[in-house]
Amino acid sequence: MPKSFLIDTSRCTACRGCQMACKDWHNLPAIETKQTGTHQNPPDLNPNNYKIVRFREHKNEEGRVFWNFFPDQCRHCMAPICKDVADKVVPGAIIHDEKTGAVLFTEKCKELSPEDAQAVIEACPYNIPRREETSGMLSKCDMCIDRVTEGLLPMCVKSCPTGTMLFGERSEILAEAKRRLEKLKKTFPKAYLADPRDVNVIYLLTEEKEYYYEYASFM
Amino acid sequence: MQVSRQSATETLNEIASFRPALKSILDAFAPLLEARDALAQEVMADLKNRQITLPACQASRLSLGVSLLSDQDLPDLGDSYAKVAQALVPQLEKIPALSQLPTPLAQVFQALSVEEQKTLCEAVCTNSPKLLTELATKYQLDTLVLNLAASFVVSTLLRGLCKASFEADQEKPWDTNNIWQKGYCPVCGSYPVLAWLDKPVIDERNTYLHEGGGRKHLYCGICGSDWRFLRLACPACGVSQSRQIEILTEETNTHGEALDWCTKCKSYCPTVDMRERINIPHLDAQALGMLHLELIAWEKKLKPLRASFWNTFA
Repeated sequence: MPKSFLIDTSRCTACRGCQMACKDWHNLPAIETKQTGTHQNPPDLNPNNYKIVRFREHKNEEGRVFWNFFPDQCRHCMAPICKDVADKVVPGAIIHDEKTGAVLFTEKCKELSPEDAQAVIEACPYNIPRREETSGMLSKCDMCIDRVTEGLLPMCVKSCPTGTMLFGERSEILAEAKRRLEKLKKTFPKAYLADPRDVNVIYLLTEEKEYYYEYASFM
Repeated sequence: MQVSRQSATETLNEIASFRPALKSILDAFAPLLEARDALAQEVMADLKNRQITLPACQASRLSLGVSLLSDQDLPDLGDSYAKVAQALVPQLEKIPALSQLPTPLAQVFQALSVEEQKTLCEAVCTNSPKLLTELATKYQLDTLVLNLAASFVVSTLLRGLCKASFEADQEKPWDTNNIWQKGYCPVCGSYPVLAWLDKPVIDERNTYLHEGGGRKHLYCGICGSDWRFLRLACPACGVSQSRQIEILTEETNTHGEALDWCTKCKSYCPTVDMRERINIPHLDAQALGMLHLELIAWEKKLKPLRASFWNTFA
């Protein structure tokens, strides 16, 4: 049974500890960025940010403001379509680790032509992979595979101070996700789990995906 | 969330995967640790059937630092002693050092009188070399060999007895109101083989922060009990002063493992931080898997709180 994440957005305070911890663990360099009128910074995933917290606010019919936070990362799909696409041109560019469930981009990704890499990016239903133009490498969250294979929590989970992020055996995570959903529905009747059957990064959202991010869930 | 608890083999395999130098040692003890766990379950079921439990906990005794079994005889365990010895000895004899002894272990455990069984139990709990040496001399065994074999037999019985007396998820009487303040075991009086820092807990009443995590617990390698303890105090000398406890870790990826050692009394206790771990490791297997740090501690002339078969170096 693979490993899974639960990301309970109802508990997220957008501290961005996960974003920083990810960058730190992977030794990713700082990038130049701009304030674009939102706290979401950098504005999007990029080859040096495998994880970002997305911000979106809206008013409901009563005029109450909701500010939703969405720690975005690769979903480590159960049947990764990015792998299927890449396998057609460069087998082994993307691998699916059966034991952990991690979907991993290997150095062979550099062998993908810009067009093929673009096909991989466009195949992802969650808009996750990014390409580094100079090296041609595709990048995204690797589930901290070096840590997980040694029994350690991924850095984003370890750094989360609010209990938004959990990581463990898929069966246990699914059980906890269902338990939390049931409880949350009393406060947020529209709460739901995003694609729990298809992915290993299961988001618990308090309302429809358009109030978070257009790629927050597929279904 | 209910977090998985690993079996001994799972923990040992995980440690061997990132510390391959220890693989042969870890593999050698995996069947023994598994056998002890299975047998302790059988002992528990048997004692529960016969309604045999530990003596009742008395808050007044606990608050004075008197362990449950201190100056009290073990309840009559019937034939459990013989059954456990019979089942464990073949496993013990698979260890090369125990395979060709002047007196075979099976014979020794069969010949022990009830009084000697009690003495052995006391010797293991108090880690008393004097009591062990007397018995070892009588049966022409090396004291270390008898200690190793007896530790497994006695610990299996005591674990079964503890399991029969307390529910796994129940708060233990010695943790209620932090009544137990000592560094030795509130049940059998042994010093711990391992300390662990707990995982944070999600408190539904606090919407935005998880609670705690990092509280220190000590784990008894004999009766399998654990109890809360001050994080910055030394379990051996009980003193808690600034900068008294130093930490010895690997330079790079520590896996949440460290040796906490006391600058006053030079004793140490291996510690594992569960906040780093996906699953809860098997604690005995985890302690065994940290012997590389114990070797460094031995070179630094530090003493283990509890001498065990894996941390006694010559």
